[in-house]
Amino acid sequence: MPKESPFASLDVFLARYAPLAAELHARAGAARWGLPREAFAEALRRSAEKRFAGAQPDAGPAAAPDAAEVRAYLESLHLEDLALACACSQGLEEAWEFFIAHFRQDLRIAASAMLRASGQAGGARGEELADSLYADLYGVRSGADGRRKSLFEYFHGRSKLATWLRAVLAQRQVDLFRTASRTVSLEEEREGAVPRELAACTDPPPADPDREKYVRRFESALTAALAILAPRERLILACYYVDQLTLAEIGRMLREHESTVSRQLERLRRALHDTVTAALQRAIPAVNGRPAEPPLDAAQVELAFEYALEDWPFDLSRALSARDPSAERQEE
Amino acid sequence: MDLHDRDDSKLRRQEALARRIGQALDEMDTRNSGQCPDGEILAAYAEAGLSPAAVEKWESHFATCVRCRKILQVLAVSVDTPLAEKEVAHLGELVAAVSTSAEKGSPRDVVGRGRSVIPIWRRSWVAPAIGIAAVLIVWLVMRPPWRAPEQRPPQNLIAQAPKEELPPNPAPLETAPPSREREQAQEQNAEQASPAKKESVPSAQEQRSLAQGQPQNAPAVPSGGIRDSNIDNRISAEAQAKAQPPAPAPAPSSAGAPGPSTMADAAAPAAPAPRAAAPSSTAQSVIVTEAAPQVEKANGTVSSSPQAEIRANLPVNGRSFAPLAQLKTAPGNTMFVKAPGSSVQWRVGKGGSVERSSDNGMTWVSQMSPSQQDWLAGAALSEKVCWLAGNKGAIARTVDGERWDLIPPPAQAAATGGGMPDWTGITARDALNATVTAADGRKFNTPDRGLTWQPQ
Repeated sequence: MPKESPFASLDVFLARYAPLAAELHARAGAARWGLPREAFAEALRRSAEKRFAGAQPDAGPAAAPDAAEVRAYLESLHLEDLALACACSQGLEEAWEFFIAHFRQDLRIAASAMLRASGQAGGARGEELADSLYADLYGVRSGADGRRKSLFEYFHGRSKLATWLRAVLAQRQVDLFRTASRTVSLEEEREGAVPRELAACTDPPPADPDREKYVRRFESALTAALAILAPRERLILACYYVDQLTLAEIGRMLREHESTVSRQLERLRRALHDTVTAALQRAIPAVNGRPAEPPLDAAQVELAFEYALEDWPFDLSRALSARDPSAERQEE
Repeated sequence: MDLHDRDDSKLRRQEALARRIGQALDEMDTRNSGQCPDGEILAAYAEAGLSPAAVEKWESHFATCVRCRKILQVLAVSVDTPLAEKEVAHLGELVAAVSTSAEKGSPRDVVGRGRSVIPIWRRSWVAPAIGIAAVLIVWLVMRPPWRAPEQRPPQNLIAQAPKEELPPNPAPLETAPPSREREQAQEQNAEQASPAKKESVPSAQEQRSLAQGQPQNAPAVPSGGIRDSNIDNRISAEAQAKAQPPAPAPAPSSAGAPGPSTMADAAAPAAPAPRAAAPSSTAQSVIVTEAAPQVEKANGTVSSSPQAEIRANLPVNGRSFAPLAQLKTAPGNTMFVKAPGSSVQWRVGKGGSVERSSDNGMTWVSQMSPSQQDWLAGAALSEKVCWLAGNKGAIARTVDGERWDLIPPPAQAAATGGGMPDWTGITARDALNATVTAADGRKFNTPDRGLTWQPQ
């Protein structure tokens, strides 16, 4: 019989973590809102359930976290914010008054800033966007069981309440904007991104019998280079070349200084190029009936780059989906 | 030259390769990268609150999901900055938008690239933006006199405060501010208990009060804690000679009796020497309430009056400074907590208000208070570490000088009915260790920022 999850229900959770829940209830100052211990314990249970059960959906009972891990996680939560959110979701008046007094203005300012960032007017529209959140925070809509469901129930204390509110606002604003605005075709965008040196070439290149061979060699070298791309490096590439964000905007998004992002991007470009170059300059041994291939010299490497960047017939989805951290990266 | 061309060509190849890879990321099927994260994950990511494995997982998703990247970008824009700074920044953007040409559309705009239409919102914001800029410029130029930098207004909090506010009670934070009745009783007790003290040398406090009592005719009173018996005697004699009946408000002397004997404040607990009575004044009715403003102590606890010296003759709005310094504050108003050896101080008080100044009180920035209860006591250890205590068990602490966190009060302090006491005093040893004093005198100490409490 499979072992029951410690977060399956409030009773099961309290059977194991009641003293911890009481301690955290006091630490969170939940009593100031008149929030019952059971309600706060339920919020803790949901948070832990999402953190541990959701992270390993296929894991069996053997992968259940131990008590120390659960304690460490629950103690790391923003308990005061969680207590406030829980009290607001319960409709406790004092909590709502505090929430309105301390969060409303900042939310409005954040909403205005978000709208301006998207090229829209802030001000009154920002206030509308911020205030539109309140109905859902209060819970005017009922769930399937007819119970009033507050948006606060989705806050689990892993971040500050203010940051979570801004994230929810950002999601709404982006989704609304994407729905309402026309999107430019990616094909049109890509045409505008053709490198100058290739766009200037109007005459068809002379037929090169080795062109296909160079492009094939380039693809295998590129696949090896992509395997060592870290997720953050991919994110920087996407932000810079797809979203065309400035270095400052990327830095703000990734909580890094603009100069740091600039150095990372430059290093990344250099590393990709050098890794591909090094792979092209290595001989390929014979494998699976395919003959061995000699290393390319400098001129041939240049040709390989030229043909590949011009044709670009590659589908890199699989290469970008996989990552081999043990692969060596060529950096100067 | 050849080497330069090769380097140039290499740089172009690097750029082109990186661009192609970035576009390949965009073309990837995002269904394979998993579901978009909810608001909580996004918020935790923005706060660097995810584990390294979770960060790696979600950044892989973000790299292939334009929606999530846009959300992160928008979220990053709404950084938590003080309201004044945000508004000024916004104003700067608006003013800059007015001066830029309409054709300069942002090439970094994801949507609308290649379109040169002036967004309608820019036009509608021109006039209000110019108006706001003009108001700000006028305000900066025509700043009120009490904000003039050549003066040192923090010596008198009244000079800075809006006209509706009264200066804080100069009593130490550890004790509740004295009521008017208590002060009058103290004066009467002092008068009855030690009539001989009327003739003794007055302290610097009394010198100032004497000067205040006679703003037009009194001789110049030295500022600070200078004690000269000859000057004191002369001042005392002159003041007595010119004694006037007291004015009724704001602080009438006890029993309405004229003369210097009614103005003695020898009952102030910190006064080291007995004082002569000060004459009452017809110009401003004041009561010498307490001893000289408390000097800041080693741990930064101070009285409401943040400076140890008062320049008695510094003119403010054409009036003598000294009388303003002696006005009694209304109970429950702002109090000041000064960081030792620093120009940083906090102004806290009713309704949980918290403000911080980094220039000795010349300018103030409002801070988000974690409680709406009145703050009654505070202790600053440095520019960044400060503790506050107030009504109904409210305790707060900041460790970066900016953000305040609510500290859970000692559960054992709760009354039978479950209510928390009012904290009238607080002392702190460091960012973790503090002791609060309840109105009934009980004390509780925490060595770990409120995680545990022990009664003292």
